[in-house]
Amino acid sequence: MGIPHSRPFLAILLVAAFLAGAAGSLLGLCGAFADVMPDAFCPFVLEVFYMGITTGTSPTTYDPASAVSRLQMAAFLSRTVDGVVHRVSRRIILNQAWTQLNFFNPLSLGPNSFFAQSDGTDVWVASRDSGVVRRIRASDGYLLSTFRPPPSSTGNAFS
Amino acid sequence: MRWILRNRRFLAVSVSAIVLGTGANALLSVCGPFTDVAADAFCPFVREIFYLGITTGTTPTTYDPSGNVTRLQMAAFLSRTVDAAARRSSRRLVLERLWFPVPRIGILGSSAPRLIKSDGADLWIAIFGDGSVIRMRASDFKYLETWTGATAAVGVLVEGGGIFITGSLAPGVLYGILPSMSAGAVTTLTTNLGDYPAGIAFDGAQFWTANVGSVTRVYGQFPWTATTVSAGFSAPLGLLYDGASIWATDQSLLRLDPVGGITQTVTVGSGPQFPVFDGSNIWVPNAGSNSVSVVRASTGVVLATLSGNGLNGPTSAAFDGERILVTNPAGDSASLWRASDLAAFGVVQLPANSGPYGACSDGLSFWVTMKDSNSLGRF
Repeated sequence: MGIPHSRPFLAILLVAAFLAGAAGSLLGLCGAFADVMPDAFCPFVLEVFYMGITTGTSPTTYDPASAVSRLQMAAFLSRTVDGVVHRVSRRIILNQAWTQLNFFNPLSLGPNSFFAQSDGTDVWVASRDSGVVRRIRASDGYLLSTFRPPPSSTGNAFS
Repeated sequence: MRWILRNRRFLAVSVSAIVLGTGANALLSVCGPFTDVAADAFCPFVREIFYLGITTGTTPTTYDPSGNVTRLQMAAFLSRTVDAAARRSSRRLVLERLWFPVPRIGILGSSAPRLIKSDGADLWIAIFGDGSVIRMRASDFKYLETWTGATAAVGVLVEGGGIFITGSLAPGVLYGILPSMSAGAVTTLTTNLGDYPAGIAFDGAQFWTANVGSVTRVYGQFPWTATTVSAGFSAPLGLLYDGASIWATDQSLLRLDPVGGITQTVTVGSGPQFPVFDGSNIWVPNAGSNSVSVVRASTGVVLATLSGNGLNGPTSAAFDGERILVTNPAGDSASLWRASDLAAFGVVQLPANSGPYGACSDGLSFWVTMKDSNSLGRF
């Protein structure tokens, strides 16, 4: 009686073992990847995967021992640069991922005000003809202050 | 004989000098510490990745410049590159503030704070109970001013030098603040949003609010046009813009087109709340399933579903350039992960019955509103 039952039981065990193996493969050893060992290299692979620098050679494989061609390397390096730029961006940290459109704030800057420089927060604009320097807040175009030349000066901000 | 001896000594000294000279050259190496890299145009690149810690070489004095790189080694190089570049560009490093500050909690003295945003210098906090907006200076935790008249304030957005607040009424209201003006009453910008708006986002051209049963787009010039879209929405709550798309949390994570149509539905955990974008991925706190879904913004693929790490009714997520913080109102705590490899950093326990709710970062610290103890925490 025991033997006839043992064959199906063995088959079930084998199927269960196979399924367990398949589940293990699906779960992966290192994140999504079944062919990367959970060793010291695993966090590196996870980081480049989670940052979108690589997607792996399939959804569950990374092919860790393969060499990298110069063409693939270009893609990886390009994505790395973009990923870093995004991640360290102040705009991302402040939840300001947009690029401002249709923003125009006309300010009267005086004649020949074509010298402008940002200090990281404000924009400084100098008028060559009047000698006036204006400080404008970059975030909203608000005129913060106006610096006028002394009466005895030539009136040229760059003289 | 004397001459021969003298010359033998000279010869010996000369040979010794040559041997020592060769040894010194080897010790000094050719390119940085590496003796097998020529001092040519490639040398600065090799030196840079060595001094940045991206590579250590194959030995202390060799780099093996003609060797091939496997995909596994490449992952290590790229990962270290990301980390080194991020560290070098970090605001915390530039300001020599590499420590994580000791948690500090201050009483706001106002009723039921909700969401919070940083404008880079000051913090703007929506106070639901008092119908106001509080401005705090982040650098020294100093209270600056209160703006009144923002009935049922919930969501906050900093854009173009203005502060925009959602009023959770039916119909919903959008308030505005010009920080350069003296504090007083907020300006009511529109009163025809969808019902009970919470989250608010901007895509560069129009504002978006997440309302019960709809999203509203606000655009044009004052008086602004508000268009509400309800098709496909149940109860959207959080909104964000990733630089390409608007995303809303509803019963799932929804990618929207520029007019509010749903173009992609991403299955996340139960009860998704207020998400954050880390430059690559969207982190969605799922209050109903005590989990966080990490979704690649470019494709909508769920990379991971995080659980444990103190998650208890997770509500708001924030990113400081390195770490992700998620508030747990039901657990009076905040959970932290490293954004790069999703490794858990642990849990910050907050005072009992504080109800941490909204969260943001200014790139230096995390800031958390506590809705039940009417306080503000810094981490």
